[in-house]
Amino acid sequence: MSILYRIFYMRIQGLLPWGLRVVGGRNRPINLGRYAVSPGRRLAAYSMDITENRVGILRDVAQAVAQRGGDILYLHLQVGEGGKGTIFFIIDVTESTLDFGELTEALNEIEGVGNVDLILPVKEGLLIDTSNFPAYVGDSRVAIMRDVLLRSAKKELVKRIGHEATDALLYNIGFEMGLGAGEDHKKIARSVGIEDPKDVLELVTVPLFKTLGYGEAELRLSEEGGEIRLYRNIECEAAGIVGRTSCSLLRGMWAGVLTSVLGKEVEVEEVRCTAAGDGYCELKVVPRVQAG
Amino acid sequence: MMKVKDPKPLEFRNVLISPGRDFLGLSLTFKEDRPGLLREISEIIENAGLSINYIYGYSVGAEPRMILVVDITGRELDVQELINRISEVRGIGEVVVFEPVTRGLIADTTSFPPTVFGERIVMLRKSAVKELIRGLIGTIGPRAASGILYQVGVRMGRGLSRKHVSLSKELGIEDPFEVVEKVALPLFQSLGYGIAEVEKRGEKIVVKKYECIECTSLREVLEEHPDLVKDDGEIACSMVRGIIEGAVSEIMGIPYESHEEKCVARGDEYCELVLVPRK
Repeated sequence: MSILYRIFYMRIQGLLPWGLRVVGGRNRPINLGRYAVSPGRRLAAYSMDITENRVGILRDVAQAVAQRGGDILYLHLQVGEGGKGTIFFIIDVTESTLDFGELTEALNEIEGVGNVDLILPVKEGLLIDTSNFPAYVGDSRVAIMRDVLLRSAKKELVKRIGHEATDALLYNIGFEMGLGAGEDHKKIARSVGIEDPKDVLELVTVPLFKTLGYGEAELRLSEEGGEIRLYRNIECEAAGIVGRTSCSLLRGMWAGVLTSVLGKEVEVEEVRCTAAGDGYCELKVVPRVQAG
Repeated sequence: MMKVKDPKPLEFRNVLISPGRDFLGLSLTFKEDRPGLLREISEIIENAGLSINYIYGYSVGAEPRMILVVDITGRELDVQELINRISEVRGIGEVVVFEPVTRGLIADTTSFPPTVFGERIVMLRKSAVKELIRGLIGTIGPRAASGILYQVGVRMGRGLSRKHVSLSKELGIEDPFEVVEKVALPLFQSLGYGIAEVEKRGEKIVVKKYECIECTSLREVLEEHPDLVKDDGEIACSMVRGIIEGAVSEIMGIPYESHEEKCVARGDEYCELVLVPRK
């Protein structure tokens, strides 16, 4: 057994504090489009409530589908407080003689499952999840935006008000977005006993920044300020190489988050940027000096 | 378009918060898909006595994978044994563990970047949409803000609909209006923008939108900052109007222009967008 797993065991047994890092592996893209496109295939989807989660509930659902020759192409299961949740899956039944009504009944009979809805494709070979709406991450409703949003918004703004004014505007918008996000991060952190602002940033802000799709961040902060390195930052990746620093919105976001979480105003300046040809983006953080 | 009664909220629990609970995350890749694969994985998890709190996965596309989060609170778990058992399932590729950042909080840090149709995306929280709208209106005024958001929307709509058209061709959907109804608007909903219904009235196309993220955000911004807009005529949901106008024009193959007959930001119960061919 590897040292990493020994450490992990000790964590499970409460002999060591919980760690942070992924064990092995690498980043992989994740497709969040909840659809299946298979021309000529017979598809269907089921959406159901979990009224009471229990060990083995997914096994029973998967068994009901597999016994009837259905192949699950897409699956989303989530369970929240009180063991309540939802399951949504898309199946390919081309190779089976599956009776949808009979499968619905079988799913309804599974202990802990309630309200089973069958969703038929809008067109043979195309099934899009319209049974789950709106989408949330934590308590916040989210919309999935392509990176073209940032690219086009910046292009339009530059056309109307010029580069400098665009940078200032996006920074300010980002700052307000960051202040709000920082308050949320503190709330999440408090709920699991994290109080130290640096831990809030490392353990909540950085993973959320990544999981929402903005980029990967590495923090090197001290009382005097420090640096934030951003890898594959969506704003600059969308900009392409334009020969100038371009992280206005995300620079503002980090300034807002840091101000909220650290409880003191900071200034954030961009010293490296992929849009300027650097290998990564780097933000320099300094405490704001109060005038007078 | 088939309507689903009372859609359920979708929670991306790729960040899972449950104070006092211990979680373990697993990221799996698939080498091949076959019926019964999920049953075998879920049997292994059940045999380990674990309940599943989150799964997101797909067995189709360029890089099929699955993210699982299980609750291990109070259990003495042989993680290596669990990984070995899952790895032995025919069709499974790589199995990677991700740990909670602290007790009660786990985030899927193995997945990046999120994509849709192979293109990179960002999940914009509603609070961020509100700040974007408020910041633009507050700085450059409602008309200029509306103009920018509309242009951005048109570009987004045109880009997205090129995918809709190629996908529809693959599926043998020839009628452009059917592409709007059966592909574009269901995807609009599944991406979290709002619930949309469409009908053709002569040469007009009428889209009704419910719970549109931009319009509800704008309404909340105006409730919180009543001085931001001086004239009711300046209140307009622009980005989503641009998205739909851009998509409809691209799919129908002729330019359309649109105006909002109704909007929740102006106090209506739903938004109604009327599109007519541009003369």
